[in-house]
Amino acid sequence: MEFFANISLGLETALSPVNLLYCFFGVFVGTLVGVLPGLGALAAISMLFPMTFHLEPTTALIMLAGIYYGTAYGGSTASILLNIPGTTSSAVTCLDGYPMAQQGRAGVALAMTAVASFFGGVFGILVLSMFTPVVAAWALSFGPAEYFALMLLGLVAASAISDASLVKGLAMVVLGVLLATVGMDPQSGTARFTFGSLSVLDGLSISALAMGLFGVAEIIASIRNTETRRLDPKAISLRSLMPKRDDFNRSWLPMLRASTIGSLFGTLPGTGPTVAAFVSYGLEKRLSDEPEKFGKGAVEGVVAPESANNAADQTAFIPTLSLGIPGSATMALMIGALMVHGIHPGPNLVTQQPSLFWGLVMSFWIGNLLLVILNLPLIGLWVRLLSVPYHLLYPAILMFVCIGAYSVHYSAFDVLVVMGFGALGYAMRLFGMPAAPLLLGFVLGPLIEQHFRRAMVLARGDFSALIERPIAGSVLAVTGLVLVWSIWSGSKASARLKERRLRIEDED
Amino acid sequence: MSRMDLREFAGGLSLTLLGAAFAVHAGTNYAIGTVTRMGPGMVPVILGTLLALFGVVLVVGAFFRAPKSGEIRIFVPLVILGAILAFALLIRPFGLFPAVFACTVIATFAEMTFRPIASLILATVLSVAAWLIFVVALQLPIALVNWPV
Repeated sequence: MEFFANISLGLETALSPVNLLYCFFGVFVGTLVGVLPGLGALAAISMLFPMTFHLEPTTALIMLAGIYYGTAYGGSTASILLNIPGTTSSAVTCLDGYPMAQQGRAGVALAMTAVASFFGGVFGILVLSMFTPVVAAWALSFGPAEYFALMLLGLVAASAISDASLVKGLAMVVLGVLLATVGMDPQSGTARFTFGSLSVLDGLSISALAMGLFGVAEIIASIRNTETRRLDPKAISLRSLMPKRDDFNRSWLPMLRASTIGSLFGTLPGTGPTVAAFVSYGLEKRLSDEPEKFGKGAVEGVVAPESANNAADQTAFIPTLSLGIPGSATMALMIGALMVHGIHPGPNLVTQQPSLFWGLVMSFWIGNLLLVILNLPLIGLWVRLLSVPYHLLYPAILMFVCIGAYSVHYSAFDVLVVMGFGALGYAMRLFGMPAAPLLLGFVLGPLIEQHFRRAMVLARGDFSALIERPIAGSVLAVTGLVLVWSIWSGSKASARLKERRLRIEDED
Repeated sequence: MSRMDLREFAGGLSLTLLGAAFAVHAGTNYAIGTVTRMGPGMVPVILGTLLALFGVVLVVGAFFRAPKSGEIRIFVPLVILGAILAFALLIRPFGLFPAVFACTVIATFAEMTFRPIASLILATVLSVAAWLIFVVALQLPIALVNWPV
């Protein structure tokens, strides 16, 4: 009975006019951002992050989450029509989506994508609402040692799986935690790295950091690099959207498998929707009776990655909301939005803030439904948006970034911080250093430091006492394994590269 | 020397210097404490040292890898950062319209094609859009036009 009570509480929260409005706004912006190449989910969420300061925490989270899973819907549109992935998680969709478009089946591809995305999203929501309370109940017994170990695992996994080298990923995590120490130390009251300035006593703002690293740095790198291609909106009429019965028959099993894979990868730290999409595509190709059709417009090659990335988008909220440990930079921003309102996500969130948790879950249902409605009949509008030239777009993005940063505390200093992080973000791009681990480190930094210091007090300064606790110890062991594995696979990859380079030199 | 990756070298060196700066500043200014009762300086010293070490690994590795090509932009980042700076300097004393206008006009220079009329039109449109979105719709208390006294 409790389950139904929760469901109705959630529906009541999600269906309130304000939340409904912001849910719609979120998925609308998400689709928009997903469709526009050169603007990712992270940049969009960081740009709208300052708005959440003025909203209720539940409403804020509903909006940010809407942007997040909305981009997965919109991203596939650019993949299919232009062969340019709007977001990284829909990159795989290009492989079969674009050939389908070239064969005149763009409408079918778009329609099947919407169906697959909805299926994956719904699957992910079911997993999310079943497992979050279970994980949270289990995590109630965790002490500082366990939290320290879990956060360490999250950070190491995130830097090991990022596409840059392990050393760079780890260095960025460390830099993120260091940047988080700026400001007042909560345990001793000492002001650290403030250099006498009162503006940074509360610490550097997460919204300024995210907007600088992802918004401004992205603009600098994209100017004069983002192509806009002309496309005839009339080429896609609603009539051509209807998939054939055969398309459905071939799709439902791949959708089910891909959703399972996506749900699994979504919960793991560091992996997320992009990896899930790649893995499920590979699996479908291997299981298919006609693997030669993949890459030439197979409908399975479109529905599998789209189901997987949408399921992963939803299940990524399980560790975020039950443990307070984000698995990706986007989830770190979600936690940041809650912390701005003084809510620290953890095992108590589900029981103490039921209207927030269940309201968010129910808003996912509504959001996914809205996305199907937004994406199918309005496809012509999105297609037209694909041809907005970037030279008109980036000054508008810049304006949003500046006013957004200013509106948090009405201080010009915050805008200067965004500028500083923009410079840092571009420098990091030049040196090939990933920004996502830095954001994760920044969000988890204060928590990991406090848990570490508390755990060491409890263990009387004996580090081995940390390892001897069963859960903390095994999590630390897994962390060690991830490290060893990524060093090993990294050296193997570089050896392969060297070998290839030698062979090329021989051929010269 | 031509085989080493100068960019990687510079990146590693910056990390080393940054990490060392954090560690030295924390070590000399904040209490370190003991392992059982850590002071505010302990964690920054550990992390700064770690960051410096990662930097050293990158610096050493740079000698053993071929340089990677890739564009290094100088003009574009300066223009974009300059546009943000203009906004930050103008928003308090002069208000929203001048700040957005200046920010947009400066930002359009990053395109490297000079289109004065197009950029003025864009700046006007964005100023009005900013007013409609942030002041009319979201009702943020931001002055439209100010004159510093």
